Amino acid sequence: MKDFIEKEKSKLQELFAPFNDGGSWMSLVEPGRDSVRLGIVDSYTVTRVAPHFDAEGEVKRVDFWLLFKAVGYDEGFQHAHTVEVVGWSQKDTYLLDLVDHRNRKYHIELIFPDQEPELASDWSNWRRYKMRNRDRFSLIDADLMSEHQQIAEKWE
Amino acid sequence: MKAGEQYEIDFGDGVRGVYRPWSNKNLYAQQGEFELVLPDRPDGKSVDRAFERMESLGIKAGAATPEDAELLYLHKQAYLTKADRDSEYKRMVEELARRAAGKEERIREMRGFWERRLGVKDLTRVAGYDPLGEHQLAFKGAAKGGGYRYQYRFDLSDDDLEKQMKGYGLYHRLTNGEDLPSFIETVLDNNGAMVSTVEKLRAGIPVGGMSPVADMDTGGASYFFARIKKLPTAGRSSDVGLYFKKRMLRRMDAISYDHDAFGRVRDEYVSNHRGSTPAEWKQFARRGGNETIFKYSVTLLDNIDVIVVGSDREKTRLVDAFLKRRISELPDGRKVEDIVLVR
Repeated sequence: MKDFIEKEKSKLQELFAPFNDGGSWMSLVEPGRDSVRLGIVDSYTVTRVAPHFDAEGEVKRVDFWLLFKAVGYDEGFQHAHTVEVVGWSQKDTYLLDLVDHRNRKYHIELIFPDQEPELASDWSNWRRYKMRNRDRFSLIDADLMSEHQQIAEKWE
Repeated sequence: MKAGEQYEIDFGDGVRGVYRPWSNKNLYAQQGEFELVLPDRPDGKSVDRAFERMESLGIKAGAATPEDAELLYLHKQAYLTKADRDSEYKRMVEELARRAAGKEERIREMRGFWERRLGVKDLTRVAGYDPLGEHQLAFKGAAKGGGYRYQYRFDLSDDDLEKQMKGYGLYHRLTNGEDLPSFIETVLDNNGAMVSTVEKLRAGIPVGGMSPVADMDTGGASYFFARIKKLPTAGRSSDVGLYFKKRMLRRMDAISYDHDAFGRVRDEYVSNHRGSTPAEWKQFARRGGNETIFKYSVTLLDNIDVIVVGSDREKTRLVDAFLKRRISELPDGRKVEDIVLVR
């Protein structure tokens, strides 16, 4: 089981690799509400997976807990979020749609420098800023990871 | 950040007004903002003059009258406890509107509603009934109220909260990579408050790297964030950080969710999802991602309950930071060294 969970976790983490490398933006859509632009996302980390089995012991689906940090997350803990993902779909390699347990939909798109030069420039500036402050960010990241790991593990 | 829409008004004497309308072109947290720009360093006279300019646009610049403050207080109380969804309350409000009741009559009727609901004879004598609210502590000038003024709900007293939520507090984790003593020094050297993103923009505090936009659009950027959590003094919880007094849950601007709502304060999300009773709040504390937000700012000295640091050395540095500024005791009478705990 442990192996299965580790494999699933790294498979799911792979899904986010292009978005973590190239930068992405996210918007949040809730049924019956205006969508909210959540801005550029620094990174996505799968912190926990929970497989669901049918009566025969076959895996029916795998839910997972995702930590994502918005650009500027050093400005406050509220810019790092853990969501329980109960469904996802990918219509193209540069798109990703997630659904959480509250039925909120997160639309993620890779930043395209030609089409979105401003976002691309913000993304590069952010990466440079993080690089210049890497010691500070390694402390912040460790702290946030420990909090969100706990949040995911104690999730009811 | 998106470009937005704003109008500039030149009053001709160097004073300018900037208005950002309630338009989807603007981020939610900035919608409806009115900013007055004075040409020089402001003093009493120039501020009065600027307020006159504001009044010339039909925008009231003075403080609310006691009547207006009480009416708003009673409305807010109904909104945050969801009493405004009750048929009795709705009927009363409709009836008052139908006969175009004056403020005095509205206040009398609304007080009556709460007297019946709370089973008290005279609402104005209830502990915690204070329509004018409390100023947060002024930073310069000990024991003087000078910060933002906040109203507190009156259906719950501090004693009720203490009885029903003993051992709980409001936790704020620092994420700026600074150690706690340095952070507290910065707070004490500046305005003595924990501030929201919008408050930082208002005060001209630069953002180090990049300003997050998510909560500008959910509206959460106008709020300071905390989580309801067990106090380290009450058990095993010992995360490093600031634990504020649960009394702040009585603040009428406080909004508590059992989940990470991205600081959403738009549309009817608040009334549909907020928790507003001690039983709900205690339930929320079991979810690590719970969220309680406070409008604009929370002052440190009058609201802090406990500070948890990582080592004895940090405790010494932190206590010294207070003592260097001649703060050995908090306004509630506790000694600074007694509220700093080592994990």
